[in-house]
Amino acid sequence: MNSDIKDWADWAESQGWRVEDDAKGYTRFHDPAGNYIAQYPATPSRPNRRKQDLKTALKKAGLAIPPPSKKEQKAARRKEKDR
Amino acid sequence: MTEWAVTVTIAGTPSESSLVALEGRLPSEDYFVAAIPTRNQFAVTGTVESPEWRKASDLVVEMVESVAGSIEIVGVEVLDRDEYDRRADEPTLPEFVSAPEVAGILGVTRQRVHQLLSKPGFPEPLFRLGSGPVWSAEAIRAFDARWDRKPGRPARLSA
Repeated sequence: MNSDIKDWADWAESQGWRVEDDAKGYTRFHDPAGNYIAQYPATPSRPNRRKQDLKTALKKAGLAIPPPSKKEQKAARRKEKDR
Repeated sequence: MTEWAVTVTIAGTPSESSLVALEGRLPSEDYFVAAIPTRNQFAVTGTVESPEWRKASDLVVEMVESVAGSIEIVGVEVLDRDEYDRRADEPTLPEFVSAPEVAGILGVTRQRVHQLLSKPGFPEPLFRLGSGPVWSAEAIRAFDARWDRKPGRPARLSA
């Protein structure tokens, strides 16, 4: 699995989704009812774009996304400040 | 030249292998296929550069129709790619808070939070769980901003 989507894959699995790599190295996402939703290649040519497409698809298919925790917000602010 | 994300929503629930095959026939860098089983639909998002959104929409719809064949399009959404990416990052759930966090935001005790529940204009909880009510933090902050506080104990009513 591409490390870019590891957090999303872990979160989806924690919410009852099935996330598996196929023989070609694509990571396939299935919702808790077992329906296929989308896939992510092992080495996408446009990773940022592909990741945003995947996030949009998972949300549209019902994966709940909570707001970032206070700790995550603080880390994001620190990262922004360091730029 | 602006980069546009054009999402074509199509009626039907093709199999996993059909959706994967469809994605394989589209230019892989620019097109993404996903199922929306709760609506019995699927969507193809294409990203193209174009001076204006109508042209971008036409380019993607033409590409999808040429590759997918006979399909029933139920909607087309065109977004500037930056706006599409911003929306992708939005959470789907609000920030939830329970009574102790509400007390912290308002600067009152937990007991006072439960008294405030009956105050007109105080936000209704989103959920009432076994552990207590849960509110949207945004609603509580909005209440805090408009709350006209009266310091001290309320005057005792005379009989």
